[in-house]
Amino acid sequence: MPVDGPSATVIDVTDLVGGGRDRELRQVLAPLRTTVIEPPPMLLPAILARVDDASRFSWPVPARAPRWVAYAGGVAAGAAGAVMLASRSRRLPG
Amino acid sequence: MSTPDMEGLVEAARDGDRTAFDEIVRRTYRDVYTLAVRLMDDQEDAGDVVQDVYVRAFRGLRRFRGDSAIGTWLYRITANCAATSMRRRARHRHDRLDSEHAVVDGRPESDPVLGAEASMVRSDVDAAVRGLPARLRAVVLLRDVHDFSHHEIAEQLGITESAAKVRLHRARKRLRVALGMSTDGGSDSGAAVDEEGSIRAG
Repeated sequence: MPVDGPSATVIDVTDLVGGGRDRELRQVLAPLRTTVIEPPPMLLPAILARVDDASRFSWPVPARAPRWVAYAGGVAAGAAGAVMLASRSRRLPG
Repeated sequence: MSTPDMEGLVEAARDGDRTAFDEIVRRTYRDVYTLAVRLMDDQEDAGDVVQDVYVRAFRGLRRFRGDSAIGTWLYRITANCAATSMRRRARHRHDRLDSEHAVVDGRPESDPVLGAEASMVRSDVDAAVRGLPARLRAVVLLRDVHDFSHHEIAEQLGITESAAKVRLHRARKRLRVALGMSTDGGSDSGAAVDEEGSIRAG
């Protein structure tokens, strides 16, 4: 890329990195995609136990219900606040 | 007995079938652990991260829309949990105990004799990756091994996209040196790279 001066020489890193060399490196790293590090035998029971604990406090529920409830709660709280402010201002003198 | 496919298990787990969720864990936890060990470079910390991953997955399963494979989604959570754990670890830094990982080749075509040389190459690659600082290692693993986009890496690691690109550039450069690959035609020779994602030529 031609440049006119130091101030115009800000270049994105990805433009400069040689694509061929990157592909070569990715090929070298490819074995890591298929290699598995064997976990300790106690890991699976530990995971399931943690999930058990978590499930006592919450269980995945359909996505729309809690969001809808949250919106409704927000609207109700806003309306209540507005009513309260309106009634207070009516009571103020002058 | 036919084994249910992963999509069916995800669907069932989202509907509250705990057995289906446990089966997802059984099928995926080795891969999740592998990524966690590579990110954390510590088996004990990786075990903790994996447990956090599945608790978070369990709680967030209703938000999983199936746009990507469940494995990819779990990898994203792993990257995020590992980043959180690394930040915590950086605050309570302790001496790292080097340990040998039990490495298993998951490829069906793996042959013990022909695999000997490949295994040596793999351990060299593994050692080179483990030799990187954690913040560079995370980026190169997520990008070049797990095909995350720069945007996804930035999101999961809590950094800017530009910083992710710069870290990737640095990580690749260090890996090439460590693996004895050509670093000629150095793209950043005479240039200062900063984590804002740009190179200022002198």
